[in-house]
Amino acid sequence: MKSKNPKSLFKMLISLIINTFKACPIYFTFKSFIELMLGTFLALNIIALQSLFDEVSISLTDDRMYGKLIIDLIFLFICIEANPFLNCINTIIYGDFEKKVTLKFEYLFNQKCSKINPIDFENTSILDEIDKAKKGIINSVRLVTSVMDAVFIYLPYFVIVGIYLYNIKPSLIIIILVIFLPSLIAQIVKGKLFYNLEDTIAPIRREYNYYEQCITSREYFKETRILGAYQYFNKLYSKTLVILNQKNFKVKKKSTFMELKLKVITISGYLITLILLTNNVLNGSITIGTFGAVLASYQLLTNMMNEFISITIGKVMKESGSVRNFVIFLEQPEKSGDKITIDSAPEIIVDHASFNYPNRNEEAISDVSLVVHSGETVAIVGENGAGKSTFVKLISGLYLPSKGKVSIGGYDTSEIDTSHLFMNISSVFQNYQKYKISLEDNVAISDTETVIDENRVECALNMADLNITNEVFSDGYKTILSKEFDGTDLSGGQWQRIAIARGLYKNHNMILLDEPTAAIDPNEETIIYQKFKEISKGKTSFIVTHRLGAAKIADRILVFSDGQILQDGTHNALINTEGKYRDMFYAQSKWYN
Amino acid sequence: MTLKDKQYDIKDILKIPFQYSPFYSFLIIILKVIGGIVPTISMLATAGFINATINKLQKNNDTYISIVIPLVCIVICAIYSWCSTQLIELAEAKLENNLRKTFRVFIVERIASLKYNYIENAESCNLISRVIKEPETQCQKGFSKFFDLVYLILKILGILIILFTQIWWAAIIIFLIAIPVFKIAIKGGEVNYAAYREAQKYNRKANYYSEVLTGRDAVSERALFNYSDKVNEYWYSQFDQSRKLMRKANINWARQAGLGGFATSLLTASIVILLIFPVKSGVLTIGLFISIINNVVSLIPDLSWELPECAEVLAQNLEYMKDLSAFINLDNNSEYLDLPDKNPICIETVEFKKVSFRYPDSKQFILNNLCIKIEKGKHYAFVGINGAGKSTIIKLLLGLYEDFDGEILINGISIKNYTQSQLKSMFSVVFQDYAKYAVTLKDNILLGNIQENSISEILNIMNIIDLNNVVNNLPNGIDSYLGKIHHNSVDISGGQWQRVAMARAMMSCATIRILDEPTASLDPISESKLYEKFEEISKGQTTIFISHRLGSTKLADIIYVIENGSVIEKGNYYDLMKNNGTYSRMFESQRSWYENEK
Repeated sequence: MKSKNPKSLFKMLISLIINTFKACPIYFTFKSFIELMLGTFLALNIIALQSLFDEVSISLTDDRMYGKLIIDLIFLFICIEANPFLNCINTIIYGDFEKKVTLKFEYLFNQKCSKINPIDFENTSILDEIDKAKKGIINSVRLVTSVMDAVFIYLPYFVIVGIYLYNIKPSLIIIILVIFLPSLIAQIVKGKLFYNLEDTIAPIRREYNYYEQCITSREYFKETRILGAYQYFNKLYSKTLVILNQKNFKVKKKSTFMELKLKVITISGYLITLILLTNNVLNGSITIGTFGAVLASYQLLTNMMNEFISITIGKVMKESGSVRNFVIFLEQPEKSGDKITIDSAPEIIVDHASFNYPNRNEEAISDVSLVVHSGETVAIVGENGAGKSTFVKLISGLYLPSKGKVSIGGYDTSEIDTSHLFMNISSVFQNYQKYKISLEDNVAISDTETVIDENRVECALNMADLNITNEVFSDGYKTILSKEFDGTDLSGGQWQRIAIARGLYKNHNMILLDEPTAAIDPNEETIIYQKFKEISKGKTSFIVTHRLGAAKIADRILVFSDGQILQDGTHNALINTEGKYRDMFYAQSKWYN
Repeated sequence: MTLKDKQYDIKDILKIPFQYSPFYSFLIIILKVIGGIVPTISMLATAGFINATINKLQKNNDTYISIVIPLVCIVICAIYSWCSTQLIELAEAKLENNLRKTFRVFIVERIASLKYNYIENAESCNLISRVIKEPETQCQKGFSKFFDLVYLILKILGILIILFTQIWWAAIIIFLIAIPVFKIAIKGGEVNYAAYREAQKYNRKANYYSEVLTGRDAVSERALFNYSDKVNEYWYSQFDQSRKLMRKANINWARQAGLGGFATSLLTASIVILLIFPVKSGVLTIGLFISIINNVVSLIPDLSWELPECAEVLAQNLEYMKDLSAFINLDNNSEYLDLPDKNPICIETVEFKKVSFRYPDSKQFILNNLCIKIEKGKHYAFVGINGAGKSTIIKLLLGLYEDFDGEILINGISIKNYTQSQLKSMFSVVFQDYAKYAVTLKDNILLGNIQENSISEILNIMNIIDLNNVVNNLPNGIDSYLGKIHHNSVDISGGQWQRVAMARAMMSCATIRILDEPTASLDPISESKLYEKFEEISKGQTTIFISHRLGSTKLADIIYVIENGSVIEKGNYYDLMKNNGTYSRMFESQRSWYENEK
């Protein structure tokens, strides 16, 4: 994820265009064709006009040439009428094509996100990269459409008009090129400026969005209000906005003035051309009709050229930075390995494994070694921050150890394809998700390989003891669990049961339960832990818990402290030895005496 | 600067930028209006230039000056139309910047001063999220588009006026055609916006899926359950439906606009033919003929595409103004922004007298004739199952909700008679969903007592709450940024966050401390340490605990057992255990965990 090999704009373009073509080949071809016609007719329009002007000015002195005039008029008529027709089609296609390609690109982006190592989501700089890549999607699409415009509308237009002008007066076409070169340079420099700007702005944007949330989002609202912290965050918010403004404007100003300076050359070129033309007419090397017509078409041409460079190319360059972020993101190497599935309850071997989180010095897990036998039920207890949750992520293969080895069923987690490995591992996470989808989907989301089986859903929900009443779940299993999408809101306890059902729905021979009952009423906890005991029979299972009483159901208890295993044994063994476990147990139980 | 409560409409697209950034608004107008006149001048100059050149060639008696003047005019016009784009962009950037630091900040302030019930209501939440979505860009775009429209109209009028002087009826016909074309465009804009709103439904869902697919929260489940492909399909189908809706509306619109374009171009073609006669008869100079034809041809895209597009964007902007009106008219009170009172009122008693309450969008009463009395210096515990109404009591007490039946009296005076500032200073709370502010550890704690800035107090509290070992592991001590927002910030564990929240509450000088299920993610040792500490430092203070770990409630002088929004049991631990009611049942059940060994 970290490499940032600069890619040439051209290579990026090729890869984007190939992807676009793959996304919708017919659409792509059709759009190109329409654009080609559009460009051609725009050019023919100029030629038709000029030819008409020529005829009209000649016919002023010569009355016989009506025939040619009529042909010219018909020609012009066709060109003019073709315009709205083609434009109409192009307008319909344009937005839809853009959406379709965006859809395809974002689909790829989503796919890629699923391949990122979970640990990378703990790293702010990688979060930044993902953020920036996402911003690059729409710009990438615009880049493709701009390039298509350039190739299929502007290029044929310039070629046709250019050849035509060249035939009249070769010097004209050369001057055009000389005039617009500076503009082109300006756009390239501009692109660089904005690329760097995007890099500096991304973290600032995140910051001010965050402060805004501290003030306005539901998550923070009441606490910020009660604390009277509005003014504090408002100060930070305004300050960050001002910094953003300054950075933004500095670059905009710089690029504007650079463009304006280079425009001086363009304008002087334009002036010289006009003088040249006048001179040519005055010394008789071109006719008056041609002169008038060329003058007009020249204006149209320069306007078109200006539009092309400043707007189309300008847009491309301005966005090339974020496009690069997107392309690089898509081309990140993915973790691969043997496709292993574990068919029976696996044995877990942890061999001198250590782990540290990105940007943190001290190890969250340091030098832990452990063997868990197939089918064992292990409880993990310990203080906050002792490393319990991290350890669970290590032994499931979600995180890879920074030192040492973890193997599941005999396979080193760093060497195999984890998505395959996960096929028979399930979990109830501490920060379980509250999906804003139907009840049924919320449970069955843990196994998307098979079609949703209502019986299995029912079975999982029963085990989790979710009480499905008609008042709350008005549409039964199809009830959407979110007010936002016209569904219902659930309490924390109900959600936790759904999370448990989710973990149980998936076929597994290894399961990890990370504080699975934190939000459930204590009275009902007892029942759930008993069920866990039944369910985990014959499966390798881990339960992280603060309720020491609950740890009793395990075959074995691990006591964690400062990233290491302090004690390891059965409840009875541990309670009879002096040590952390006993201290903790009594500390907790004394409240109930 | 503030906005008034009123209905916002098209005028406000112009007024708001003027209110917040008059200079740049004015600059944009001037630049665009001149831009609209320039094509007409350029057209006349070109005609003059061609004619002068022809004159010079044919009669050879004109001075060069008659050629040079129109030539200079043409060049100036070219300079203007090429350079003004850049200047306008710059002015727009500046306008947007100014709106960002004023208008956007104002909107945020307005949200902060809304009545709390809007925040928990889905509908108003959506409204708020629409209004806060890049408001500065919305305003700037609306303003600019409006003057793009002015620019276009001026440009078209200029051409029409010149045409009028030559063949007046053609100008009138074009004008007459332009009106229905424009009307169709606005209608089309509305239809498109309606489709857009309809499509938003799908987009919102798709955006949610995209959050599940790419966000940080769901990362573990995403990886382990490997559902990305499936959810990605859901995502795709949602967005595809929205795309198809938009396409349908777009085809309709383009068809009508295309028809308009067709009519305009037919007319243009006939004008070309008609103008040939005056040229031949010498009424119209060849220079003006060329100029007019060129410009009339360029009218086709202006009339049939540019104009409708402007109208469409403006129609959408008007919808933003509607949202803004609705938003501005939500109940609000700037008192909500006040700092807590520096000298908190000492609370002697708090009394709930037959308080009933239901959430604004719910039919069910969450509190039913609730009676509770809280006296200074005692420790209280509220217990009950999830959804019994425990947290709601706290929300009422804090003044977050004001529309309840019955009475809440603080020191015998109705809660409604206290200012927000006073209420804020009376209570300090650790919420169940306490905030994890991504600022420095120091500020996180200091926010608990915003009026004071005492480092020694922080250090003292960190000692009590056992935060010192957390601090020792941070790169910059208490000045380290927490969370995931700033670079070099450190994210601490859930339990550590909770202790930070607790420390924040302890900074406050409030006389009532409220802990809303404070120990959910604490380990047993920390939990018992916390209870003991809390007991120790809360001597002589009033505390309210909400918990469903009943062990902790033993400390309470009075326990209220809440069920279905009413108090069903009340008394201290011994009373309630003797009672053999709900409390004792719950307690026994939890005790069973620790029984075998004792």
